[in-house]
Formats: sequence, structure tokens, C-alpha cells
Amino acid sequence: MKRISLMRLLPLLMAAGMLSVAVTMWPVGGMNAGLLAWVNMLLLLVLSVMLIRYGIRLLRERSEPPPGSRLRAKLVIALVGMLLVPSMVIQIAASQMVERGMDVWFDVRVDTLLDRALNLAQGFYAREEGDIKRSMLDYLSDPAFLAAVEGRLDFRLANEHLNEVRVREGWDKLQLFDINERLIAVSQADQLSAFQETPLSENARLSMRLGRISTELVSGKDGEIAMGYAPLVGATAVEGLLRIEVKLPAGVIQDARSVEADYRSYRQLERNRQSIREMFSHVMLFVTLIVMLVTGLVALLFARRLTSPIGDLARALHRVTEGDLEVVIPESPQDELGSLVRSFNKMTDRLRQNVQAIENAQQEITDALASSRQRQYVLETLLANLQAGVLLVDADGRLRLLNQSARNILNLPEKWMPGIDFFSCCQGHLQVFGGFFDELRLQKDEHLQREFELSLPHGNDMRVLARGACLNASGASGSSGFSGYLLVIDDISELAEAQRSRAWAEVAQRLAHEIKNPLTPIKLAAERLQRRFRKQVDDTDVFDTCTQAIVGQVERLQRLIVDFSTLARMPQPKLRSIKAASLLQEMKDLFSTYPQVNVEVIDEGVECTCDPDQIRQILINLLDNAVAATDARQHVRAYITVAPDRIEWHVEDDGAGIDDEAVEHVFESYYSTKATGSGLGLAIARRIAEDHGGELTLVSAKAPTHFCLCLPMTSTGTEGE
Amino acid sequence: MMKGYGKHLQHVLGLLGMAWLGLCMFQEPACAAEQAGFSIQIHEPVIYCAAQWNGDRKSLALALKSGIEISFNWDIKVSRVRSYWLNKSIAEISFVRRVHPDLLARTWLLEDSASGISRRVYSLADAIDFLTGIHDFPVLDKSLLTSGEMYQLTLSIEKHEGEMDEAWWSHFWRQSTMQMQQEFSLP
Repeated sequence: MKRISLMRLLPLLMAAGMLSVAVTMWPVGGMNAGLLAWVNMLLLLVLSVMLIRYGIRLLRERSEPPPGSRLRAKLVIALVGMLLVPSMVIQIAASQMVERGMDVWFDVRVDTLLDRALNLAQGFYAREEGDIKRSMLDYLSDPAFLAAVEGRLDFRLANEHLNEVRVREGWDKLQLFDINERLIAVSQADQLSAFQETPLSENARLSMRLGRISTELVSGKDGEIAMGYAPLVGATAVEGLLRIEVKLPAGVIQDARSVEADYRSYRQLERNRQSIREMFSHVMLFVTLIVMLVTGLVALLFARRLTSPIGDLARALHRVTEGDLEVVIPESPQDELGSLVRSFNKMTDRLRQNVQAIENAQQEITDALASSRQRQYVLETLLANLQAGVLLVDADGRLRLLNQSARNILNLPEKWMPGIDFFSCCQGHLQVFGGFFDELRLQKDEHLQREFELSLPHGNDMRVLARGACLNASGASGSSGFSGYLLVIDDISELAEAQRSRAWAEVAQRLAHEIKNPLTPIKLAAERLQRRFRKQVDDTDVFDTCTQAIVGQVERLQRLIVDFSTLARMPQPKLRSIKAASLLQEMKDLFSTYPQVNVEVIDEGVECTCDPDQIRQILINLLDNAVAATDARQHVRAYITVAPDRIEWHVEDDGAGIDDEAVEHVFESYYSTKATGSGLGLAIARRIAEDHGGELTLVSAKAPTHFCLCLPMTSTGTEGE
Repeated sequence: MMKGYGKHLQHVLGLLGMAWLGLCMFQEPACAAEQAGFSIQIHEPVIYCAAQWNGDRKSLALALKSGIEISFNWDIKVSRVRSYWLNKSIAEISFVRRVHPDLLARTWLLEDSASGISRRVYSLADAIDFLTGIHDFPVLDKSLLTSGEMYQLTLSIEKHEGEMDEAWWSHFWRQSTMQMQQEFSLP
């Protein structure tokens, strides 16, 4: 189970505390409890709801909160808590002080003291009233007053009596009213000019009506006055009313009223003792809540201001971790956080530059690699397609590179791989090649060229042109930083053969030119001798034999010269399209007199582009050789095979065949096993085949002796008009 | 954007709910007329009402004996009942009855702001009766009302101990200690 930290529970705990305070201090008197109490309750409820919402959100929070929010909440809670704890302590202490103070204020002794003071004041009033009432008792049935009320006494005498009574009793004012509330006589300590008549009060009327003495206190401008009312009782009924006024001593009255006011205030305070305590508590609570709110708001603003750059930093770091290096944080004021932000911006800038540099380098490396691979591919392709063999040997004599042509030309074994020691591997037929390399290495010149013969393992000899070059790292080609030797091998066997053929053709041409001219006169002279001098000689047989021999040899020499001429000045083939079977049909017709010749003509409509005369010459040469090598009991077979891109004419015979020694030389010029042959037939035939882009090969030397003329469907020679 | 709007709406609804809850808590239901001793008398040509505050008389007596001035603010409203709408106010009468204790003279000075008469009594019971009850109090002339219409007479009483705050704004947070309503109609 996931552990819930105290920090997450703190808002709910604070809300629970506030709700507990609200329940404890809930006003019980409705709106009479005071507006402040309800304001406090409202504040407590609002704060509790806010804290509960925040607490629930914290508990339900699963994902990572926005950057800085936790720190902001912690700062706010910490600041509010830092203020809340001393506030609560102060409130508790103040409540205790108020409680103690109220106990002192409303002490029993104070209560008793005030009661006694009030009793004293009340006693003063009661004594004054009692005195007035007692003194007025003597005048309830005063005859002079009754006579005055009844109108039986002279006004002057009545006033004198009133003055006398007033002075004797110490009253300040004395007034006499008849039953109809009409003022009869007045006596007062002040001048009569200052007299103002005042109607009877309800108490006075009641006193007259009920026939009893009463008093009342009246507050005036001059202070408090004690007024007394005494009915004047006649023989049968109340005849009038005596009203007296006594000014109470101002100092005593003032003190008495002060005592009354203090007593009233004290009792009011005492009555509101509980509400005063509650009021004090609510005032303290209100102040605490307001301070909490203000502190919370200030803390929130402060925390927001403080955590805003931190949140920006966290968000920016998150973006940086996701690979976004374009993030820039707005710079803060010149404080530690501002310095941190500036450092972060510098860091991201450096990171961005480094990444850019890395990407550039990577791109350059990629391009260089691609270029290098391309160059390598081009080089490998070039080397693979080169007819010349190429070998690269480093300065230590180790083989670094060789192409397939080198393997083919030099017939190198499989162990010849890059990295082998070149000298140690130049054994057997390659010793001469090793000697060439040694000469190249030791000489001062940078280039060396030699031609030499290589005796290949299967007995063939090869003419090789070897060229070598020193590669010096400090030289012009030293940019690659490689020092070694480049060896280029060319198979010039065919070139030598061609040169030899060309030399032979030139010789033949010169011989033909030199020999051809005198042969005809010799032949004509021999025939003339035979015709003119045959009858003159004794031994005609010898003569005939000799002349015939001369003529015959001359004719043979002439044919030989013709062949020489043909070889020397082989005409370019005049190509045209012709059916392959038609050539074979011509051969069949030509050699029909030879029973052993079997020409299989199958007309498949296949045509080839060639010079028919030259191809015909080849076929005649091949069949003539076959017929010469067989007798009537043996067989000569000629046929055609057709491949998609070529046509093959085959000539086979069951003759004695060709010796192994002669096999290699049958296509060489002037090589013949026949006594009368010039040795040029097959050489000319092969040349014609090559001129057509084909080849003439000896498939088998014996049983049967099999020649194959292979021509492409479309020859590469010059097409005839 | 809708999410933020919904959040604000949620806050507003929460505050309204709290306000409604507070009003429910603070609102004191009007007393039934019978329980409060409230009656209306309709005589030609004036409508009178009589009411009696049925609170704690002992508490009043104790306060008065302690010399604390007590005032009762009587507020009488007559309004015409309108269905599905606020009632139309016809008349409103406010007056204060106050008792000033005189501890030295052991008398009680009664003041009635409606009549402007003050008098002194010597009986505490008389003073309390003066404060807590009105009898045959004329409310309004009958000619101001229409026969057959329903009217509502609302009487609220506010009790104050000590000197009464006469400032006009003090009315805003005064809470009546008793409120009585009765509907009536003229025949």
C-alpha cells in the first residue's frame, strides 16, 4: 500500500482543526451572537472547504504535479504554520488573561461594594423622602392652609403663613392648590419674580385623589429636586394639595448618580460577561484568521514569485531531457535565482552549440564515409573491370590490395589475400614476378617496366607486361599517407601473338611479292621446254618427270603464295543476312561425291549475319580436312546447332585424329601435318571466325575429331552493302 | 477552456450553496400568531392589533433591577399578498418602547416613541408590561385596504439591552427576537 506522507495529510488536518474550532465556538444566540462571530464562522468554513479541496486533490493526485506547485504549497503552509502557532499561543494566553481579568473585575468584593454604595445612595434618597413625608404629616389638616384653600384666609396672611412654614421646615418652595388644582399661594426661597407655574403631575393628582402623601424626584436645570405632595384634608374630604420642593444637595446627588451609573455599568458588564468573553475570543479569532489569510496570501504571492523561476527551470529541464534545446527561460531579477536562470540559459546555449557541432561533424563524417564508400566502390568496380591485374604492396612488403584480373593472369592461389607477405608468396612460377618487385624496390627510379614469360602450372606459357611504381607518402601522391608499390600486370600473350601474326603476314606479303613474279616465267619456261624439247631428248620419261615436277612445284608455290597473300591481306567481312542451313546445303551439294560425308541439313529458318563467302571457306576447309583424314568407310558428319544468341556449325570425323602435340598448334600459321599443306587453312579459318566476333575451336582431337564454328546471331564485323 | 469555465462554475455553485446553508441556519421561522399572543382587531374605521412578547420576563426583570435600560423596537408591516411575486407594502409602523430604571428613586421611567409620552411608574411589573405588550394599537385606516384582498400583517420585535444604537446602519444587522405574521382580509 502506498504510504501517504504527512505533507499530503496536512491540509486535511488543518481543515479538521479549523472545523473543530468552528464547532467549539459556534454562536448559540443566532444573529444576537454578533456579526463578528458569524464572520469568523464563515471564514473558518471557507478556509476549511478550501483546505479540504486541496487536501483531497493532493490525496487523489497520481501524476507528477506541475513544477514548483509542491514547493509553493510547502512554503505557504510553512509560513502560515509559523504564524499560526504563535498566534494560537497568544490567543490562548490572552484568553486566559481575560478570564483571570474578568474574575478580578467581577469579584464578589466589588459586587458587594457596589451594592453597598447603591444602598447608601438609595438610603439618602429614602431618608430625604422620609423626612419630607414626616414633615408634611403635620400640615395635612393645617387650619390656615385649609382656610386659605377654602378662601377664608386673606392672601397676605396666607403667604405669611406659607413663608413661616417653609422657613421653619427648610423647604425651598411651597405651593398651595385647591381641589380644582388652582394655585392659591406660593412661597419660595428665591424671588417671586422668578416663579414659574408648573401644572400638577400625575403623582400629585393621584396623591390628592387618594388622600395620601407621596414624593417624587424631578430632574431640572438646577439639579434634582425632591417634590412632596400632601393632601389637605378637611372635615369631610380633601380640600386641596400642598406641594413642596426641596433641592437635593448637588454634591451628594452627583455622587449618588455616579454610584448608580457605575452600578448600572457594572451590572450590564456582569450580565454580558459571557458575551464579553465570547466577543473577545471572536475578536482574537477574527484577528488570527485575518492574519492567517493575509499571511497566506502574502506567502502565496511570495512563494509564487519565488517558485515561478524554479517552475520555469523544472519545465525547461524537462524539455531539455526530451531533447528540446531551444528552450530559453525569461531572465529573473538580479538574485540567486536570476543567476541560476542565466546559468541555465548559458548551459542550454552551450549544449545547443555542441549538439550543432556534433551534428555537423556527424554530417561531415557521414558525407565523407559516403564519399569514401563511393570512392571505394568506384575503385573496386574499376579494379574488378580492369583487364590488367593490379597489386598494391606496402613498404613492409605486405600485400594490401589485388584485383581479380591479377588472380586470373598470374593464376594466383587462394592464399593470396591482402595482408600476406609478398616475397614469401612469390614461389614457383611467380619467382620471376618477385624478382621484378625486388628490382623495383631496390632501384632509384620510381617506375619500372618489364616483359617476361611466365610458365603457368598447367604448362601454358604467358607473356606478361609488368609495370611498377613507387608510392611515396612524401611525394605528390603522399596526401593519402601511404608508402608502397603499385604493380600492374598485363597479359600480352595475345598482343604478342598478334604482333607475330602481323610479322608473319608482312613476311608472307614480301615473300609473295618476291616469289610470285618469277614463278610464272618458270612455269611457262618449263612447259615450253616440255613442248619443244620433249622429242629431242632421249629419255622422255625422265624429261617429262622433271618438267612435270617443275610445273607442279611452281603451281604449289603459287598456291602457297596465294595463301600467304590471303593471310597477309585478309579482306574485311562483308556481312549480310543468310540462312544458316543454306550454307550447309551448299556443302552437301559440294561434297556429295564423297560417300562418307553426311551433311544434316535441317532448315529451321535461322538466319545469321555473316560474310557467306568467308564462312563457306571455313566450312570447306573443315570438311576438306575431314575428308582427307577419312576413307570411304569412315564417317564425316556436319550439322548445325542453334542457341538463343549464336549459331554453331559442327564438323566431326572418325579419322585418325590429331596428336596431342599438334593440338596446341593446329591453329598456328604454317603448321601442318600434311605434306602438301601450307599450314595456313585453320589459321585463316580462325581469323575469319574472330573477324566475325565468333570463334573456331577444337572440341575434341580424336574419336571423333570435332571442330566447332561458333558465330553470334549478329556479327560485329562490317556489314556489306 | 470549457474545463476552466466548469471549474469556475463549480466554485460559484459552492459559494451559493454555502450562502444558502447560512441563510437556512440564521433564518428564524415566524411564530404562529396564536403561540405568540398576536391578534388583529378590525373596527371601523381603524385596524388595530394586539401583541404580547412571550419571552423571559425574569431576565427582563433582572436586567431592569440591575439598572440596565431595555428597549423594545416594534415593527409592524402591512402588505398585500401577491401570488408568485413579492408582497406589496401598504404601511409600515415602527416605534420603540423603552424603560429607564432609576435605581436611586426605585422608579421606572417609561418612554413610548409612538406617542411621545413618558411617565414614571413604581412597579416593575408595570414597566415590563409596558415593554412587552401592545393593546389596541392602531395600525392603519381601513380605507386604505380593499375588500376581498388578502393582506398580511407582520410584527417583529427587537429587544435591546443597554443604550440602543440609533445609527441607521445598525438596522442592517439587527435580528428580531420575535416575528409574527397573520393574514387577513376585509369582508
